[in-house]
Amino acid sequence: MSMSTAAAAPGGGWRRYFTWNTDHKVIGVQYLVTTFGFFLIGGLLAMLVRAELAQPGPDFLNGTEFNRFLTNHGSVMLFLWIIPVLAGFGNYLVPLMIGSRDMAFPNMNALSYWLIPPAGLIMLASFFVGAAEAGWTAYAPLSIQTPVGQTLWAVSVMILGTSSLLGAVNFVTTVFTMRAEGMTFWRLPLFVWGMLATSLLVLLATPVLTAGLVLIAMDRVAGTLFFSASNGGDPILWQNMFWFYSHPAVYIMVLPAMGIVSEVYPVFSRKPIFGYKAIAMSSMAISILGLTVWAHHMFTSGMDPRLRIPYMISSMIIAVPTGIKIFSWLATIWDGKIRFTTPMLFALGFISMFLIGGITGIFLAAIPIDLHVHDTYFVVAHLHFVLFGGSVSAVYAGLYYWFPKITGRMYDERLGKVHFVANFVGTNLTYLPMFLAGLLGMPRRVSDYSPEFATLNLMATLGAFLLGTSVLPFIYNAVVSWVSGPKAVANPWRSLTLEWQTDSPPPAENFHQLPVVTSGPYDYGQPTSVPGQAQAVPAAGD
Amino acid sequence: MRDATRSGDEAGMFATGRRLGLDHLKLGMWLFLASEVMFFGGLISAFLHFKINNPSPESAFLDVVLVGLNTFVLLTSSLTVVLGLAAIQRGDRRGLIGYLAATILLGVAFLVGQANEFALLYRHGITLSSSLFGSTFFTLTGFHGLHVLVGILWALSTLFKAVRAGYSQSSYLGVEVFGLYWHFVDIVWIILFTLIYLI
Amino acid sequence: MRERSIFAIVIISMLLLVVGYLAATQLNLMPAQASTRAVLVDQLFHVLVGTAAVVFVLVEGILVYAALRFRRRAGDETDALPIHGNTTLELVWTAIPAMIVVAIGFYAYQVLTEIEKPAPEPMVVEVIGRQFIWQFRYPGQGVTTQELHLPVNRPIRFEVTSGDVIHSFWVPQFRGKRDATPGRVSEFLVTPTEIGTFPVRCAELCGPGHANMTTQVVVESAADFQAWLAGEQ
Repeated sequence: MSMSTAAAAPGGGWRRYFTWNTDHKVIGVQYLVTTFGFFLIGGLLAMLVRAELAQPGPDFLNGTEFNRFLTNHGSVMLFLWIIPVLAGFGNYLVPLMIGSRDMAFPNMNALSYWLIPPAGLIMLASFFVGAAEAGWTAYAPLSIQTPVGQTLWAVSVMILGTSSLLGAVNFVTTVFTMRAEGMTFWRLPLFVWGMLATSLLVLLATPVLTAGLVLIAMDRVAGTLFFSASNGGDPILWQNMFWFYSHPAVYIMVLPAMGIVSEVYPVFSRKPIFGYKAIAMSSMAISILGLTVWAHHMFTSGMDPRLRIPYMISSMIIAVPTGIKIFSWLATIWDGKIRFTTPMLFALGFISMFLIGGITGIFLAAIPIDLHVHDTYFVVAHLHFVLFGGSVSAVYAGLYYWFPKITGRMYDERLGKVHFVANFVGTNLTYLPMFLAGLLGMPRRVSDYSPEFATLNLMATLGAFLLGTSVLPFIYNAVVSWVSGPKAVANPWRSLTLEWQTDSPPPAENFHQLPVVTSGPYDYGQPTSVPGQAQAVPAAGD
Repeated sequence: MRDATRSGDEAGMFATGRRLGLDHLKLGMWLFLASEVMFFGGLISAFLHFKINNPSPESAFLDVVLVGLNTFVLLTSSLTVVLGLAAIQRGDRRGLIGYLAATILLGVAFLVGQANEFALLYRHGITLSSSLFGSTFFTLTGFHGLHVLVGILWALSTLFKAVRAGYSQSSYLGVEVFGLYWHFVDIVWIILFTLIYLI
Repeated sequence: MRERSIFAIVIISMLLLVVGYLAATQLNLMPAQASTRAVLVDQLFHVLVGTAAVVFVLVEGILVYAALRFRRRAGDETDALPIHGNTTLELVWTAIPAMIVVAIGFYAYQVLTEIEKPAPEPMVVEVIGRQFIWQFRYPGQGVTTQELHLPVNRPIRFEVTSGDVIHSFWVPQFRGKRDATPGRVSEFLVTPTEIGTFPVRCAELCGPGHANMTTQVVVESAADFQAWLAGEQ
């Protein structure tokens, strides 16, 4: 995205976004824009995959090229888009939401960001030397035998894991040690709770993936035998190490997103969030439970059959805190005064599509059914409903919601609604047919398929092209509004959380005077909760 | 007087942390160490998986005595860190410098000892790629050694700062944070030594 | 609670039950059943489809209803009521999903035990995946083929392995797959019940030829199977 005519923001113009800058707001924007760029690249790869799959029979991609495109589609979307974009929101918002001037470790924060562009370049550069082609899951021994690009892929993912990890250290330290006076844990906005729950997972799970990637890299480069079956190595070891991280990873990809929509519902219903503590505790429960379910990705692996049972149980139990959240959100908007702004539309779309993803998750948890649908398009549909219909919808909700805060300007509401409709229709059109295809017998990661799946695939491809097109109104809206949209007031949504009680965009020091908090973040409907009246008492050291 | 164990917080940004008894630098280090536990946990799991399912006669070549001695050296280096910290807490700058120097020497001695063990095994034909035992042994102890090396470099930097009078009786947080890391590396070694050499 | 609320709840519950029943019995989303496990898996599947339909209609219904009914009236800039929670409601919507999930878990466990029950004297067929073909060995017969033949109604124990990378042996009509992993032999139990020809597909990315790693399984009468086997020797 070109920033050459970005509105002059306090503290310097657009150039600072290309430098090592320790202001969390600058870093947040760097994250959001960079990751969105990778989103477009991942999307382009998806379009190419879907174009090949529009009809049965080989079209313009051979098996190798197809596998490289799908591998990098997944890897870019997960490691270069959805995980870091949510960290970007965290970076921008957490200090503001807790009433502090910055993160605990500003230089480490800048490092976390600046690890991303080189890692991304390394992953994409692999296309020049034979890109990774073993899926984002890189199962050994296939991933040991693929060309050089696979090693670059492993290095890239290790760098991104480091970035993520340093971010988590920063978020937890910041929330524990830098909250404003009166900002108790039970007054934290739910987005902050989401970031805390996420950071727990990042800290505990990412290093295990790093260890696994080290083993893969060493098998590839140093001749070690970890995954060499003929030498006593064990490919299943990789699966365990990989999924120990990658299952919690999906909660890393959704917990902050749930935090975002938890911010949006109260504001646009003019009603407190329903069940605040239950939602906060459910986030922590999902986080902790999320560390216990990983082998549900391995039900067909030949693992000890009895060992599968506890994983089925924990995978099903996770539905309970998830359900608590969904019902709490519905109860929030119930009896509210709903305003259908673009962020609210995307937040409502989040529930409806995440629900489909969540329900189909129960199907997958049931081992007898999983044995049929594992590694089929049923899973592809499930994951895209939770990740795209879910998390990406929430990201859009957040981008629109905080657009005036970040840029100081208002986006165009009509274009936003066009974007929402195209995105909603496109998502359902693309992924609903995939459930059917999987059930009826179409495996995943295939460059070709039996003609009986032709209609379903054509529908999915058309939906995908609609989705690809649907980003255009968003990009246009974001760029033009940022450059020349109408100036926004400090708190256009009359929200009660702290980031809205300062200028839009905020001054370099975040608050002219640090706030002293005297109430919760969602106290709508009470006469004393007039936004803008977080008491401006000079805090210690101010 | 400012609390010597807390990082500079003139702007009051970390007031909440202080009230909870948490210093942000120390908390950050603890969180990082938690992640390191998981990293080594991953490598250790791989080691144990193969030790249990593919036990190897090559483990007979492990030199328990040499490496046991080496373990003692590393343990002593943790002691010197503790003594160094106690010294600066008394205001004994030269004591800190001395103990940091001792820590570095002991750390280097540990690495030399490890190199010896590696060479010994190499002479028996055991390498990263010769067998699964070689793969797991060298990877696990190799990464530990890398962590020791990082610790030695950090100790050197701490030493230089101590020489330039960067620490005092009222300001020694950096020594504490370094100490946390060094003790962690030591504890990891104790676990590794037990699992590789003693069991 | 008011009479009207109770009435509404009863009516909605009945409608949901109808939706659930119809979804469970009328939506046929699975391929043909060709094994004993398929019947049991499909029953579980249909129960889940019915349950899912009820949950889906209920939750989406509430969402759509709330979105329509509780729209902000034009010009109304005031806040809504400061309601923070309702302990009873929250307990209910925690307990009921928990009970549903436990029930599903039990049922799934029962089905799993049944479909993986070892048979007294299964016929053993070795399945070996290689980039990008399937090989089937009939031990004791000295036969190795690339097209799988099975006698109908006979319990089969597949012993699945790989000669190179991980593949996955899948016959959709049998309802189940097992990964073919090098260095390990994984068991997979099937009793085919329908005479016919069904696709065998690889369900684990194994390289450029993954999509084409397909063959077929021919399920035939015991006599036909013996004749075929004799012909291959």
